[in-house]
Amino acid sequence: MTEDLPFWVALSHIRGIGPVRFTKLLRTFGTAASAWCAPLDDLRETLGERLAEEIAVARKKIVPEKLYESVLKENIRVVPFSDPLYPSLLQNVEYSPFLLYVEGDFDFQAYDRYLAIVGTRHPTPYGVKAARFFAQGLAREGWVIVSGLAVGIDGEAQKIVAEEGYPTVAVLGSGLRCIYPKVHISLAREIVERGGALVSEYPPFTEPRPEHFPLRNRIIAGLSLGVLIVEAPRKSGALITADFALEAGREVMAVPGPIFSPQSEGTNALIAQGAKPVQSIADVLEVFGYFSSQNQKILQERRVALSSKEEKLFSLIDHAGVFKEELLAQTGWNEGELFEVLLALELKGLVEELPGGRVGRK
Amino acid sequence: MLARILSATSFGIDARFVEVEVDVGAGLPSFHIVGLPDNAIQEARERVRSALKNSGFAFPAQRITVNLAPAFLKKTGSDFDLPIALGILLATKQLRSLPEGIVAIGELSLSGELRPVNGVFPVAHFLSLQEKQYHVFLPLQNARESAVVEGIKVFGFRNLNEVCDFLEGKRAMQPLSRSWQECFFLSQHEEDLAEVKGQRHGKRALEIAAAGGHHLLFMGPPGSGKTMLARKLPSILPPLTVEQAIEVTKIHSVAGILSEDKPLVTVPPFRAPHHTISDVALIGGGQWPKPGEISLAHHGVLFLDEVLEFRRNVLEALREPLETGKITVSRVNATITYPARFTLVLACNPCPCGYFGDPKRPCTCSPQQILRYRSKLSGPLLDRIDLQVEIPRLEVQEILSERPEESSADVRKRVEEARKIQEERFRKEGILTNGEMKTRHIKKFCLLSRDTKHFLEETLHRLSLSARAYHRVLKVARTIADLEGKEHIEVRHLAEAIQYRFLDRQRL
Repeated sequence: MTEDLPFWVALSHIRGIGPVRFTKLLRTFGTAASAWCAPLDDLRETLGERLAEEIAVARKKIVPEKLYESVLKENIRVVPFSDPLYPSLLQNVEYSPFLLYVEGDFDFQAYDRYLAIVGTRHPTPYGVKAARFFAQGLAREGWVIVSGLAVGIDGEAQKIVAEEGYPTVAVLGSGLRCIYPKVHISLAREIVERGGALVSEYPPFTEPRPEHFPLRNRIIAGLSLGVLIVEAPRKSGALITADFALEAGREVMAVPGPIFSPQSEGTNALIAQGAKPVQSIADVLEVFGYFSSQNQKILQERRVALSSKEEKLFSLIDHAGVFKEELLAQTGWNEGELFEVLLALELKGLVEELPGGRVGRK
Repeated sequence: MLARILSATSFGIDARFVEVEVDVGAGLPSFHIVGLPDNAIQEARERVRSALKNSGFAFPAQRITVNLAPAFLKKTGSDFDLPIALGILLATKQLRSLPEGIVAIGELSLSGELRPVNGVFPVAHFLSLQEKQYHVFLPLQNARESAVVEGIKVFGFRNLNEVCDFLEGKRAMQPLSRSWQECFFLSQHEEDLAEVKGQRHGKRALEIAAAGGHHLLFMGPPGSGKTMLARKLPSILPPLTVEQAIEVTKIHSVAGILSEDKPLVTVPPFRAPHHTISDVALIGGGQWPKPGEISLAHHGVLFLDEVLEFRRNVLEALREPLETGKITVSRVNATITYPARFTLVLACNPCPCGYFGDPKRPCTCSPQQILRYRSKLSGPLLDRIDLQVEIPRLEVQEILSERPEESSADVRKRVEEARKIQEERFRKEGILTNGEMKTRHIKKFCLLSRDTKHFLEETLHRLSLSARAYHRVLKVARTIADLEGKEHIEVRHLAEAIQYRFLDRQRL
């Protein structure tokens, strides 16, 4: 097997060879090495004209052993499907990648509870809050959070987990040396430093391509026992992840949202179709038959001493955010009065400024 | 035979006398103008020739030399057509004599009609400051705009024949005059704050900006009413004093944008240049430096809508005038200083797509795009903005509601009270408003009690606001206290002032 690995790596560099064609090659030629070196006519028969040509061209340019070494030099592990270190959950789904590139010391066999938290790239403040809440709470319960490192829900969930020092697994739609999105390069580094892993089925220097991302989502679903969708509009990549999870027989959960919020249309529709609505960490654990060790509630009421005015104002502010304009109208106070009380609440850590002239509960 | 006629021309917003000497003598027929004239003046030869002929006078087939004294001063424009024509008529005895103390200005058309010229108001004002009482002969339109100036006698004419008839005593004419009051009455505000429904937060910011002369930024999605709000700002500014009105009118006269029916600019001007404007058009320039938009907005409001779309060098050019309240433009022909003391109002979207933070419509921009977009705003320009306000899109019901809104006149009363307090405070400091305070003024006039000081420092620290924000907050709090007529800055004034720093506070 070890001798054959460089040829697995070499074949993974050829676009168009995925799990299906690779299996076909193995079945026909026995090993990757013999597939790589096979006569052109045999390749043609197995893969068709175009791909056979591509391999023929690649054979002239690529020396598999050198290619393999250059990958290892990048501190990237190569984990083939047959390896005992290959994530066992992922092994059990259709079309699992024949080869994973992994960065980080994370050992997939050391953990057995994986949960994917995914959602829109354009979350509302509510979505961000929910993503952080579930990611943090579940990480503390010993779950490994799997996500796609995208901006928005994915990134927020992984950021807080990494910040707290728990491992998290980020699955990329590009090579591990072409981190996308670029704003998350530092987050990727942090994930590796905190004992998590970056995973990709693409060779390290593969640029991100639009068609990679739905395929990436199948890995996210495959790696996890269940998928929690935090916020997703009607046509969202997160819903593709949910579909993959369903096909693989994994749990699908969704965070319910306001019926007027476009970012919750997809999640609310999922719930209508039978996905489990989750409102607390305990709800998530219950799906898998676990019980919460902390009995944490989502609306944790903070009891700080409030004056009657502060109490009144606080009661008018919700989590989604209220315009200052509305607060002026509802309280009937003048600007000086309102802003004094508002600032007091802000300093007590109960509310915060939101974009667009709004304030919301923290 | 030699004739001398007095004329005058504007130089920046000041003016100078120009003596037009015309000599008609024997020699080959020719027509020369000397005294550093520019092309427009050289072309006066053709206009004057035709105008005289078509007005029924004879154009002498002799050697004509015109000198514009002082000869070292470069001159421009068509102001001297009328004096040159009168000079030729005098020198050829077609006009018997010209009484003392007449100043003539005006452009001639080929038919002998008098056409208006730019920059007459500064000239009229300059003449009114002289000891002698001058009779000023002007094209009728210009005469109407200058009639308001006291201390001179203004006569307006339609054509060259009217001028000559008047001089020959064949036609009786009264000097035009217009009272200040009439002009102030004519210039009513067209905008009123009561037309804006809701938006209390935005209106409050306008009131503070007007009261303290603070620069202002509105950020909000398309259709939220940023532009509408900004347009109402002049209507709550205190009315111009007579001196201010004269200064502003002079600038507008030089730029040629005075209208006949509103000869005097009596309300604070509102200028809203489009974002494709060049730096020269904004700050002033040209071979003969003309005032730019910032000077036209003097004592008024300069509104830059979609401020992030302006070219960077254009925004950079605003730095000096914002600091000094004037702009000096140097060109080959002249170096001219125009005043430019205005309230700057900026408006922009919160992100490239415009809907970041809008609860109804999702934003399609990535955080980097938003950061890149907003980074154009940062730096020296943003540093001078005291008030940052987010304007939300309002619900239709809110806009249609019939709740009575406060009128501009009511708000203006409070603004004027607050301005009075500031005038008193800064009597010896050479500034007018809280917005103009420098660090030393802030130290002197924004004293805090120990408790309030502690509150402010603690709050800024907790909200991680910079030291720069500290001074901005103090200045705005001073104005809010002035609006309440309070001598000392209190906690609630600071709390409100802090609300106007959202760009420093929000994380993306």
